[in-house]
Parts: sequence; structure tokens; C-alpha cells
Amino acid sequence: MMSEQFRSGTDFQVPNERPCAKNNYCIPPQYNENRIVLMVKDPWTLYSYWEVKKEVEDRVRDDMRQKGQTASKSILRVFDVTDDTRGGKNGTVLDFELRNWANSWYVHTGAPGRTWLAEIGIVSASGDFFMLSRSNKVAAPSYGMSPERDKEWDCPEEMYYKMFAIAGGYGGGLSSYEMRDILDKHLKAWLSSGGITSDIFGSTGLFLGRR
Amino acid sequence: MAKGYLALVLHAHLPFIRHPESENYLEENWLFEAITDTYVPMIEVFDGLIQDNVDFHVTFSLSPTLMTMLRDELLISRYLRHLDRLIHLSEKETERVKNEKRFHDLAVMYRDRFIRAKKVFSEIYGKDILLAFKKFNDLGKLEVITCCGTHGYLPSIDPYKAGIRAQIKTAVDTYKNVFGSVPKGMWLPECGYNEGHEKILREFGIQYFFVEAHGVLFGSPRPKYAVYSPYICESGTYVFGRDLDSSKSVWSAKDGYPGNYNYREYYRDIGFDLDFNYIKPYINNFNTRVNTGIKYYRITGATDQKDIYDHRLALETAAKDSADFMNSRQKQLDNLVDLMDRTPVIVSPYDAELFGHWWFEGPDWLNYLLRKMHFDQDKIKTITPGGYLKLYDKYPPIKPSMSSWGYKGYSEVWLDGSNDWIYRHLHKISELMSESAKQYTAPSQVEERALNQMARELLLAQSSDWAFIMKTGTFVNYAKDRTKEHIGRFLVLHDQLRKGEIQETFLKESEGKYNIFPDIDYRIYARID
Repeated sequence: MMSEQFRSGTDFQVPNERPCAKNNYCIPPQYNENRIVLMVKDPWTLYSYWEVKKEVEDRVRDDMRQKGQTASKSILRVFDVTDDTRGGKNGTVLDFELRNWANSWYVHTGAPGRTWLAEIGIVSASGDFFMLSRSNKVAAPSYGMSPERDKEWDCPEEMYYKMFAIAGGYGGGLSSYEMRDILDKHLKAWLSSGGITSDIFGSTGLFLGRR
Repeated sequence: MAKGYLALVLHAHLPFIRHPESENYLEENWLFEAITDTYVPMIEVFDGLIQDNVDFHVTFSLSPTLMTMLRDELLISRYLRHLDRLIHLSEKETERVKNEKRFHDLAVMYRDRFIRAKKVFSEIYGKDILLAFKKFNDLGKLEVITCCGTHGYLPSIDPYKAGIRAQIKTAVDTYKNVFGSVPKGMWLPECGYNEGHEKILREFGIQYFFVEAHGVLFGSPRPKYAVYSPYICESGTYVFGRDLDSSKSVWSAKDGYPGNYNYREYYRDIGFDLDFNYIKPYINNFNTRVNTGIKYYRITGATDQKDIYDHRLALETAAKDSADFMNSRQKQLDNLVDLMDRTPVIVSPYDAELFGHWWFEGPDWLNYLLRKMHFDQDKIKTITPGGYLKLYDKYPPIKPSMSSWGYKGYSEVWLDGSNDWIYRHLHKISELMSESAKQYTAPSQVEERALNQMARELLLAQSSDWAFIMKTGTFVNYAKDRTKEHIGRFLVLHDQLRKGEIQETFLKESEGKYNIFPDIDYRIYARID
């Protein structure tokens, strides 16, 4: 499991002399609220951003002190809640230490098809977690052929890969084992090299000129 | 009896760019270039096919922002001035190169094209080319559908379902104003889909939508026919998956048809090649070089030494490429027929602006393809999704998988280090919008106007184009400014509303500048689920 902080904070520069910039619509860096939001980037990656209200943090730190504990570090804790309908925390738990006032994070779960929940909080020196804010739940998509088969519209694995071969432009004539291998590679190459946007852009892109 | 079907889907979209306060936004040119290079040539292709009794069926998606701009008086008057400038420039070019025959032939071609574009736009369709699309739709040749209100990338709006509902409702309302009915289908911006969107589409009477190939291939239960049949979602909405093979042959800049060396080179434009003072009066006095649309060279190869463009050779190549496309689809069908117990449909969606603007010969390629399919064979026929859905009583079930047609197949393009900062603001104003909609159940007239304008600003801030531009790195300041401006205007209006101090002048200015969705009703945001 890896984590990577791409950026924190927001960028409010308005380096433009034209009228809509002259109106100078400054947007606030934060909204003085307690919130953490989780989004899905792809089957393996989530994105989270948050804001912690000072009063909430003060209250939590007071609580820690009253319990005789000292704050050790700020943590983003991400729970796999796929198999727990009560919103509990029985699955995988991923912890990321937050430094330098980070207010967003890309979480590489490496586990497609799971449902996730995040909390931001403070871990005490003795290892107890004190929550500051809890996020929405998100479901990352599964990756690959579904194990589920419909009785009326059954699709054995061999058939799936034969059809897939035609969709990928490989035609027929290979054994299902060969096809599966080729198509796994093909799909990974297709997705990692980009669908359309890596070599010809979408419509707006067509107007950018790419000079 | 056809062995299979081809469902060509062309998606036309441009973000809402309209600056009544200034003519110095070269981004407005995107619309003008698209009209001249793509929409008018496409209309001419379809009119020609109808005139020659060619049976064809194509799906054409028109985004609500594009439909709005195509009926905007200010933009249309600016377009006509732009076109007149181009006509003058091309006339001047015929003089400048009169002693160089190959250049002169091309200058004449451009002059004639611009004059023809003006005739089609102004005289034949009375400055309203949506009438052309309505005609083709009424004739059953095009199945015109639409896209979300401001082309919002739906997976990024997911935390706020009311926002998705507003994107779809504004689209349906805009479409109804032009075409008089609910669209049969919807193109999801960037093919961006996540679980639950199909239910909201159904609420508004949308029959079908499209996903990228793996949206179907990774769907559940396992899809029996891969992407060669639609599937039915639990909500009753049908979903079609994009065919990768046919898409690749057109889309890929490296291996696709548009990269053929005989085709026109996009980057060699006289706007950059000729003396700036010569060009300047014809490019709206922008203080920077821009494309004019007059280009004299062919791609030639991976070299800066470009050959002069030969239009006849390029058209021959387009004819060959259309034959290749048709033959490749026939071969695909040969492989599919033994595997399927129903007639396959190959779904091939493309951005409409690829044809004509980027790939100059694209409309000719389409013209040749549709004629060849009609006259030269009967193995594969064109069909629309609506037409295909009439063929069978039942379709296999599926829960599609989250997907997009962007880089890496998911949300990377619209959610990365270059643009992720926008989401905390977009989500916040979505939340404020819903709170306000619930709170103001009996607003005064001015409060209602403020609430409706807040909804417009929110929708405009959500355009996927802004995040896309931030990611791709050109025109970034414009995209950032627009995002900040809409969020900023929303927050100002919200603050004034909350304090009971709505400033009429600011409200009026916002309404005048961002006048999209005149009949919007902010109450769409009151429903939370």
C-alpha cells in the first residue's frame, strides 16, 4: 500500500488581464466547516479532501487531555467497509500520516471493487485514534470479468474472451487461454495508454490547437 | 437481411463561451470554427444523402450549451462578421497566390467553401442550423439526442445527486425547446458513468445511454454479447458499450485514418505562416496569432518540410479509408455471427468536431462511408440505438461498471493535481444550492431570480471542459478564471440572498452575461436522496 500526496492547498492566482479576471472573484480557501469528502478516481485510487473546524479540533484535543493522552500525529484513516453494512470498521484499515497542513490526499488502495470510508483524526502517543471528521462512503469499481452469471443470458468464460477478442480487434482463431492472456495485456495497455485522450483530444481539445 | 448493424454516434459539444462585455475572447472562435469546419459541412453531407435517396441512420448528440449558443443572437451576429472577414481574407489570398497554381487552386477552394458556408448558414437555414438537425431528426435520418446541461462530468458530481438531476433536467428542457420532445438517448459527458446515473436518466424519460467498452465488459452479470448488444439496467434504462476496434481506427492520431500523409495538415495555418500585419485585420485584431482555417499543406510525414495539399488526392484517400472502415466492420461481423444468437450492433462514437475541424476530410469520409454502405453491399446497415431497441422484446440485464472514455478509462483527466482543487468548491456550492432550494419555498420575485441565477452559475462551474483544459495545459487561465468566476458569482448571490440584500445591478449583470437555461427552476435542487 502506498500513499502519495500530490498537492495541498488551493491555487488562487488570477494572472490575467481580461475582464472576467478583472472582476476578481476571489473564492475562499476554506469554508469554516468540519468536513471530509471521499471520491473515486479509478478502481485502485481514491481522492479525499477535508477541512477541520478549529473548535472541533480544540474539543477533541481537550478530550484527549482529559483522558490523560497526548497528541502524536494527524492521520487520514481509510476503512474498507464493503462487508459491513452497519458502517463499522471490520475490513482493511489504511493509515496515512499528514504533515505540512495537508488538506487533500490520493489514497492508493490497490483493491478494486471495495467500498471505502475515510476519517480524519489525531492519534495519541499511546496509539488511540480520536476522530475529527468522517466522510461519505464510496464504492470503487471492480476490474475485469464479473464472476456473476445470469441463467437466461449465460456467458461462459471462453465465450466472454472470444467476444472480447473481437471487441479489441483481435478477431478469432486463438485458444481461450491465449486470448485471455492477450486480452488482459491488451486491456491494460488500452487503459494505461489512454482511451482517446492520450492521442487525440475530446472536442474542447480539438480547439486547443496543441501548439 | 443484414448480418449486423453499425451505430455511428457523433457528439457535438462546446462549452458555453459568450462574452457580451468584450470581443477580445479568442475562445469564442471555437464556436465559429466549429460551425464553418464541422456543423455546416456535416449538414451538407446529410442534405446530399437525402437528396440522393441514400438510406442512412446516424445518431447525433447536440449538447445543451452548443444548442444555446447556436440560437444566441449576439454570437450569431459575431459569427457572421467572422465569416465575412474570412471571405475577404480568402479573396485576398486568391490574389496573393494567383501566380502559383497549386496554392491558387486551394485559395479558391477556401473562398468557395466560406461563401458556401455563409449561404447554407444564412440563406438555407435562416441563421438557425438547429433547424437542419430538426429536419434530419423528423425525417428519421438522424436520431438527435443530447448531453448533460453544461457537460458536467457526472462521477465528480456524485456526492450531490441533486446536481446530477439538474444536469439532466436542464438538458432535457433545452432539447424539448428545440425538438419538441424528450430525447430518446443521452450522451454522458466524457462517457463518465457511475452506478445510479441510469436511475436518474430514467426519471426524465431517457431510454438509453452509452458507456466506454469496459463499462459493459466489466459489468455484472457477465455480458453475453460483449459490446455488440444493448443491455437493460434495473431502472429500465438501456446501455450501449463503445466498440474499441472501430473507435481506434478513427480516433488514433498515430494509427487512425486522420494521420494519413495525404490529409491536410492542421498546424500549418496562414494565421501563423504569413506576416502578422497582413493577417491581423482578419483575425478580429487579436494581438496574437490564431488559426484562420486557411491551410495549404498536407501532413506529408514526420517532417517540418510539408508538401502542398492536394485536395483531390486527399478525397481519394478518404474514399479508400471509408472502404477500409466498412470492410473492417464486415470482417468484425463475420467473426461475431457464429457467436451470437441475435444480430450484432457495432457502436462507434466520435466527437463531431473531429470531422472537418481537425480531420479536414472527415465529413467526406463519412459521406463516402454512408454511400458505400447503401450502394455497394447489404451485409451491414446503419442503425440508431432507438431503432435497434425495437428489434427484440428482451435484452440481457446488466449493472454497468464505473468508467469514462478519458485517459486510463476512469476519472484521471478530471481529477488530478492540476484540477482537484475545484471539487471542494463545487461540492460546497452544490450543498449551499440544495440548502437554499429547500429553505426558499415561497421566494419573492427577486429572490427567485437570484436562486435561479445561482443554479446557472453552479451548472456552468461544473462543465467538464474547465477541468479538462486545466489538465491539458493550454488556455488554462481561461478555464481557471471561468471556474472561479462562476463559483464567485454563486457565493456573492448566495451571500446577498442570505442577508436579504440582493443587489439588482449585480443580479442583472449575471443574468445578462450567463443567460443559459432561461426557464431554469432552482427547485430541482430541493430534492435530496
